[in-house]
Amino acid sequence: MTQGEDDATAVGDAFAAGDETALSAVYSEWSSLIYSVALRSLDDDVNEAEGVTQRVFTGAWASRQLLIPAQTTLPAWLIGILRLELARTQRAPSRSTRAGAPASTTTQDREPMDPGDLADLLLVADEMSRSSDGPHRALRLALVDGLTPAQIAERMDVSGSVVSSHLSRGLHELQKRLAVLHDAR
Amino acid sequence: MHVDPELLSLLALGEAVGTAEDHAHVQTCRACSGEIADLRRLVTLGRGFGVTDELVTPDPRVWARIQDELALSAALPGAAPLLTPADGQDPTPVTTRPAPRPSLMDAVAAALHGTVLGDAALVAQARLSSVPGDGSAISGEAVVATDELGRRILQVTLDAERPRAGLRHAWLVHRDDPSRRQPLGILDGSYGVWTIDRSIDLAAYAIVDISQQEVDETEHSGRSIVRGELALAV
Repeated sequence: MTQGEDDATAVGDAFAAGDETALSAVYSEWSSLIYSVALRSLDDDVNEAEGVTQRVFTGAWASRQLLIPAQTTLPAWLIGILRLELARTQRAPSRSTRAGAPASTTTQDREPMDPGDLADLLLVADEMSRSSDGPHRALRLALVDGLTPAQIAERMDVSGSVVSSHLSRGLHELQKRLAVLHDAR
Repeated sequence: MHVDPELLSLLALGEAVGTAEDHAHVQTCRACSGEIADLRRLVTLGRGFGVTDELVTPDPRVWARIQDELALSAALPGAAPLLTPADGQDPTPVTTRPAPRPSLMDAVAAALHGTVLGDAALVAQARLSSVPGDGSAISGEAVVATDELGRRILQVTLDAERPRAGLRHAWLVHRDDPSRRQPLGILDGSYGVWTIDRSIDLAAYAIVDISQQEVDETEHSGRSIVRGELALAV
């Protein structure tokens, strides 16, 4: 277990024990992800996404004694609550009447995605954009720009084996970033 | 012998690499095939990267509402995102828009909000009532709370219209010697917020006094309109 995971478990323990500073820290770290998934799932309705975000954190706080940090990571637990809140919001009568209205252009080309998959996608996107070191850059060139390892080597002016190592490390970084969203530890 | 992690990564990326032996191993080994499936999912997610796939920070009002609903201590910062580029050199524009931290005034306003009386941030409070002889029936409230930096903030709210002329000043008056007083400042009509210097002992300077002043009058006018004694919250 890494230092980061230890810290995350400590925050989870403090949260479950009712420490308000843990709630504040958890909100700082995860509200962007929760809010972004909510926005995407609710056709960019800011009011509803804000309401869902609020209810995810107040709901998590109210039921914090149900959180077992050894079994579930806190963000995975938040995503679970988010999934329920989104389902509830999407079923609300105020929304179903609106469903007859023509979809906006921004939503037409988007397939509805599971909140957990959306969270993974947004974290992958964020991880890829957050650094310009070799592994992150090689990964962006491979995935976003669709370059082959040989083309990446040329673009970055490094050897093929360096590219392989960059890509492997980059994927590993993504894996690490996403691991906390999944219960398997 | 498991396949080298770099090779697994390249295979997940769809590269035609590795020996026939490697491929045979990956197909039969649970660990390696599981790892490849996991990496392939990341590759698929990464290839679906779109410009709209950025994390958006919620407006600070969301955290303010959560604090309000849960009656949390207002000293807790909430909205500042911790997501920062991992390395300082030449970062790609970070996709999160950092939200401003809640302003001091927000924090203080929330701390002094009536529903959180009894909260740890609360230091003292006083009911302010008309000074006999003043003739008006003004009442009000003074609350002292500490903010997240440990500063003592005093807020006065009067149940009154703005004065028709002149200004209102706020003072801390010594409970045993009314001639000893510390000026706090000028109210904005019926409302004021000030910091209290740490050297001032609120147990001694316990009387909050609001006076009616002429515009250029800096000494106490002698015309107090409301007054009240601070009760320290323990």
